[in-house]
Amino acid sequence: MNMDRYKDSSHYRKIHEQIETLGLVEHIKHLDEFGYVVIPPDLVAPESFQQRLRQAGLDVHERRTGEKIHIDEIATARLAKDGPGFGHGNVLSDDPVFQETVLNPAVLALGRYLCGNSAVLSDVLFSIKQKDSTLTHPLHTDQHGTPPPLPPYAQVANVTWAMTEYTRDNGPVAIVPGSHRKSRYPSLEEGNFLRDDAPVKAIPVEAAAGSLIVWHGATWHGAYPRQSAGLRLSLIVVFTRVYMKPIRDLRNSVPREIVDRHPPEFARLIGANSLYPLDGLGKKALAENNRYMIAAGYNPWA
Amino acid sequence: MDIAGKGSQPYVDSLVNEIKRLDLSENVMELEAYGFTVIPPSKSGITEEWLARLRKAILTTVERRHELDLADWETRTTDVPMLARTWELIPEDDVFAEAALQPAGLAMARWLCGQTVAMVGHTLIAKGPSPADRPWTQMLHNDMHGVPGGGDICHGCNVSILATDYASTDDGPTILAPGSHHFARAPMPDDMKRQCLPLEGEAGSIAVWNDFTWHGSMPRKNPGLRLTLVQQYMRPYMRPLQMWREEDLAPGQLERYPELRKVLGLDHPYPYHQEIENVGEFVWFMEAGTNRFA
Repeated sequence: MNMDRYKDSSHYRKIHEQIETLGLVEHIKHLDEFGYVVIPPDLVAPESFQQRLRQAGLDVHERRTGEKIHIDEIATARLAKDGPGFGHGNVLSDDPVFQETVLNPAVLALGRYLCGNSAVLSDVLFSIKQKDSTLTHPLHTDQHGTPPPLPPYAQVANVTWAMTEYTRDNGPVAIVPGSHRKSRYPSLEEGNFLRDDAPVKAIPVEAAAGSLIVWHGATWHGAYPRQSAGLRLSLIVVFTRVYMKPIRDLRNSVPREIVDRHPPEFARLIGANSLYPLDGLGKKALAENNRYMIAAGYNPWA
Repeated sequence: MDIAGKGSQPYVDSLVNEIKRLDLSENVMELEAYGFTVIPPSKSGITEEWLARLRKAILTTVERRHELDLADWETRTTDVPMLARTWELIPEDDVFAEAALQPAGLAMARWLCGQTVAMVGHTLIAKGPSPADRPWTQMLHNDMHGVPGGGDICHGCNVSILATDYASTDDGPTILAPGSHHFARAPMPDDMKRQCLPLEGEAGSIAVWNDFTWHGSMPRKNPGLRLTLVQQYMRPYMRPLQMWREEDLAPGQLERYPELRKVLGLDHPYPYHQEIENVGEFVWFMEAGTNRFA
């Protein structure tokens, strides 16, 4: 399948016009070539938004664990519980700022660049990571359950919002540049990239706080253990193609009043109008819902 | 040489042995070559008694859900009103659970979509005589909705049990374009002219096709209803047509048919309903991403 063949289509132009408007043209070239890219904070959101996002993440952590972390102490704090940290899944409904995040133009444009205009959210996860030597994430892809050879288009897009700085010592994402072209999941032997004799080497992805780190769902990636004090905070926004089974049942778990508060594209993102699964004994699918899912089968950017 | 007996490919070895045991090698060959196959009752083991139970369950379900009287189903000369409430059949009758687990159908689904395949949607067809001015009842399409083309992985398949004869084109059969699954894409307007074959099979046969195979259906000219149970199987990463939950089944059904737990994907990790405590429970899902037969 030659993806270029589909670039002369309204679906692609719609995405690319947004990419151009946001100043991301060079970034998507890097994404295409290496399977990942870093978008600097000035192309993403102002500092005032970044602060709201950090605070909302810390609030989620406090609600779910009872542990309060002051925003001014992120650089030095240590969690009460030993270990690599926490992943708080399904936070979309926890704070309006998370909903604004998934509607952020850069987040959305990159999610759609990889998974098409019909892309849907699979999960929104807040992660806190602290100093710990555990290799929590050996090399893997995010397209779980899909056997090789993987298709040339991304079935999943990972848009990680780095809420704190990512450096080698801060426990960043590990990426194998160009690995999205391998079209397969790494083998068990290839997973541990930290070994001196690792058969596959990864690189740390360094990024300023407030950046987006975006990768193709087939890109081999993992995570370096954090070696420095303090906490790494990130919000992981996972998109999938419309035919993929999402990690979370967002269409049935996001309250109606939250859906109503946002433009229609929010409802579409959470799959509120997805053709599948059919509800009840077979509701008559709305023609519009049917149309966009069918269209996605004809064009990888639809 | 008994390759499957050497144990070199555990996921596919057991499948190969099952296919040999059920005498389905020829059907596998047809699936690969043409994108569809028909397994006669002499191979599937479907008996006339079981088929009678299936027909009765289909008719009873249609009558009850749509407040229809289909006593004349073998002779009626008009179609039945458009049927919408045709899903979630398993709790209606145990015969639908048995259909989902039918060994020949399941072996074919696993050949195409791996051992972790799940039956993620089924529906019934009760098709009566079509209006004379309708050249097709369904234009050519594939069932891979939302999947851009490419690749040679079969993401889903159709395992239909023919509950009445598909003896001639007057029965209003499914038509299929042989070899079209190799294109791995939806048909375009020009493809509508492609040669298609009407499905043939006696009642009790199982028709199986790759979801990439282009197919449609012809109008029915004979009196009476064409009855079919359509079962959609998909790989575990696919968005299901129907999200089965234990409470969707009839009381005791899971105890009577414990294999339903696997075949309906009741233990699928997605959507997460709780934070994962033991990642090991989902190894099967991860392994499905490493081997097409896993």
